[in-house]
Amino acid sequence: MDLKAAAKLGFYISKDYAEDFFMLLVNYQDISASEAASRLSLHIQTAQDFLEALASLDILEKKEVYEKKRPYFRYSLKKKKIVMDIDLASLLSKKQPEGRLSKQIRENKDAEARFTTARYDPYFSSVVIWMGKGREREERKINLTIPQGKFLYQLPFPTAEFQTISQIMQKAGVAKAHSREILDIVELLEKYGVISVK
Amino acid sequence: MIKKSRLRGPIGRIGPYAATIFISLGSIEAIFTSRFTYSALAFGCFFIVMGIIEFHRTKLVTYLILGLLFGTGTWHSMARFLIPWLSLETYIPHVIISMAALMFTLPLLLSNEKLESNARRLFNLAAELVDEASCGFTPRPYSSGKAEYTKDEIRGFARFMSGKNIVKSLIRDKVVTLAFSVGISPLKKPELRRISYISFDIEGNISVYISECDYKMFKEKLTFDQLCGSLSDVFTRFLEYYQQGHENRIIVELKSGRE
Repeated sequence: MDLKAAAKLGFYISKDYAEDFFMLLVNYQDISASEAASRLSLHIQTAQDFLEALASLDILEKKEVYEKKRPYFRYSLKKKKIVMDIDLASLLSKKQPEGRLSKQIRENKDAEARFTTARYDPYFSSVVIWMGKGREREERKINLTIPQGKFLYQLPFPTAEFQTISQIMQKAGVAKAHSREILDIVELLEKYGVISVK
Repeated sequence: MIKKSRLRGPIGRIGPYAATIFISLGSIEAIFTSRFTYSALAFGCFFIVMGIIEFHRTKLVTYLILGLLFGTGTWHSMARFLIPWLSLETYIPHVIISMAALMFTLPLLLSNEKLESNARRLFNLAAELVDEASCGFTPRPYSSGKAEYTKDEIRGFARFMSGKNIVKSLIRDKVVTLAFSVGISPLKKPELRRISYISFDIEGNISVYISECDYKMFKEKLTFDQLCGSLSDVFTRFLEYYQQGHENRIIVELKSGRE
């Protein structure tokens, strides 16, 4: 199940009428939206949305039937067990970090950012970035992980020589296993003009 | 060749010149009017303004109190000829209070003056080897590498530097910080990011931080990373002198720096 489908399922499962709705679906052979709505004292549109969502997730089967000449849908359970299985590995960045670690970077001149040092240790705990000008000026605070904080502590100054990301990581004592989170913060700060790339 | 200070001069330096000017003006006024009322009023204003400026700069309220006491005292000396209820009887207690305040606060003022003058020397020593002026200021600490020392050595070094009024030391369990500034007084114990400092942690890491206020005191916008690196070299050299038992070299080298 992908994250979007899981979010949709989660949204409907979390409704306070969900348990009663599933009870109806388990006990009835099939049911229409109006029957369910009247049984559960819900608005027909609410019942319709719930049934449609479950049908789109392949949990219910939807069958078109006719009452005289008027068509409507009846819904029946396709499966009696719902398994939510999300593969988080699919969210892993598709870009390989190895090539990007050779990017040469340093702090940008006049970068509108303020780094906050961790209490006693040589790393930053957060970075505050100012965006916009005048009354539109906004501040964005990013709390850093310890490897990110250590990495940024060693970031070359605006007038210093550019260094590759892997060189800075080595200097900061950050293991390669943290490459992806380092690249994430580098790309974010590059986007906000705090870091310049050669 | 006489080395010039690369920092802007402190405002307090105008004191002796101002006093000479006001005494001269007072003498001229006395020749013509047999009193020096207006010169004294102007001199009083000068004391008050200086007190406010120094308070604003160092954040030490002592300067403000002394400025007000001496300023109003100078007014008082002449105002007794203009305002009937002021007399020598009211003027003498004013003088006694001003002198008592000066006596009580003198150790603090001298300590602050020494700290400031040594901070100027430290910055000038660091700036000696920086030729480029491409700015690059950033308000974050500069990681200047590692040094070898034991916990006791670094604590002893911090106490020595603090005892000689070169820096104000903050000794914590994991890190020793030596703070100094040519602006806000370290005696005021301000937030660390408002003054400059160098910190030594228990793993031997050295970080240098130069505050924006101190950096602005330089006449040129010296290349910031080089200035931080050079400042770190100065302290590392001082630490080595201390480790070798040559503390006097620290004082000699420091005094070679311009104020």
